[in-house]
This record gives sequence, C-alpha cells and structure tokens, in this order.
Amino acid sequence: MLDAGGVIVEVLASNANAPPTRNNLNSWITTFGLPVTALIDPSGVGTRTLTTYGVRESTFIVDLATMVVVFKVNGSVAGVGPSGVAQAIPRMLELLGAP
Amino acid sequence: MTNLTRCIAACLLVAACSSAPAAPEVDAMVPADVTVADVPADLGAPSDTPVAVDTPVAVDAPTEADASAPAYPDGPYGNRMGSVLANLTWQGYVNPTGEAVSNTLPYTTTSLQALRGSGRGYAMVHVSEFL
Repeated sequence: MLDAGGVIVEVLASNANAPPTRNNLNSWITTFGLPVTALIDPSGVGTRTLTTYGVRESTFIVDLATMVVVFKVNGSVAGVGPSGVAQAIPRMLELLGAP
Repeated sequence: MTNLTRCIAACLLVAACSSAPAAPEVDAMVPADVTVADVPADLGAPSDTPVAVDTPVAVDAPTEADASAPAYPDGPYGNRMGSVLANLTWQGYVNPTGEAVSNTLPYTTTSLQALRGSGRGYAMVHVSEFL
C-alpha cells in the first residue's frame, strides 16, 4: 500500500479512556513491531482524536485532495473478527490502483 | 520489505492491536461478529458518534511543515462517509516508507494536513485504543 502511494496513519486514541502517553505509544509499537506512522494526541487536548474521529477500530480512507472520507468501516470493539484495517485494505488497494 | 509483505504486516499487526490488550471491552451495542458485509460502511456503532455536520470542530492551525500543502479544506467536518475529516495535530512517529519499526524514528509533531502534503492519493486512518 505504501509503495502504491498510500499513507497509513495509526492513531492510539486512548489508554483506558484516558489520553495515552508516549510510553504507551512506544509499548504499542514495540509489542506489534508497527512499521507505520503511529501517533497520539498532544498533551493538553485530552482524547481529542477519540472525540472527533470515533471509537477504536474506526478506519477511514480519505482522499488527500479533498480530505473527504470515501470509505469507513468500524471493526469490532471486542477484537473479534477481521479488523477495520483488514476490511479497508482491499478498498484502499483498489483506490490506489494497486494489484 | 515488499509491498505485499508490508500490507500483510500492517494488516496483521493492527488486527492484533485491536484485540491484544487485556480484557476486551465488549460494547453490548456492537455484535461481535459485525463485518463490513453486515452493515453499511458508515453505519457504525452507536458509540461511533458522528460529528454533526453543523457542529464546529476544532481544527488545528497549520504548522510550518504544512506550508507546502494546499490549504486544508473548509468544514463542516465530520467522521462519516462523504464528510471532510477534521485536521488534527498529533505527536509520534512519522513513518511514510514502512522500512523500520516506527519508534526507531524521531519523535515529532505532525498533523493530518502535514501528512496530506506528501502528495499521495489516499490515506488510511485507523483509530485504536490501549485497554
């Protein structure tokens, strides 16, 4: 997806409904060996991403020219079944014209 | 790392992220087996409260890194299909190539506008939570 021109943004939006820390983010990345852009809200804004974008497993595909959400899926908040990302990847590849 | 490998890695890793932390928090309003085929893509769970189209959403001012990007589209902003996703500022690790584990890279400040300014066509934005 990255080679095809896509941008992947992982936002760790909360830690048990509290704002996550840098240490939380590091743990998140290290545990799963994440090789994608991984971010948290800056200090002082609370769980703004959670409030603005929605609960975990909200997965958006955004047209970077217009910033319009062209695809959205909510994976299971219980961690059961395919993740939101897994469900969004085929559409992302299609939009990018990738095989 | 090949494109396919990277794609699969991201898929699997983030899939793991959604389920790995301790006791899963089960939202009674969201059946565990909901899939994209079961619900319209933008229906979401009740807890996925949409940002009302006419509700002002705080949008971070562009940073220096945004200077080369076109102006961020005006609102109203929302989190549903067809809405303009609000520009937010974040801190963390920007890893556009996927060639390294992200926390081996510099910790920095970025925004959706800055990431948009890369000139790429589409972004996948995934919201996760640490339980």
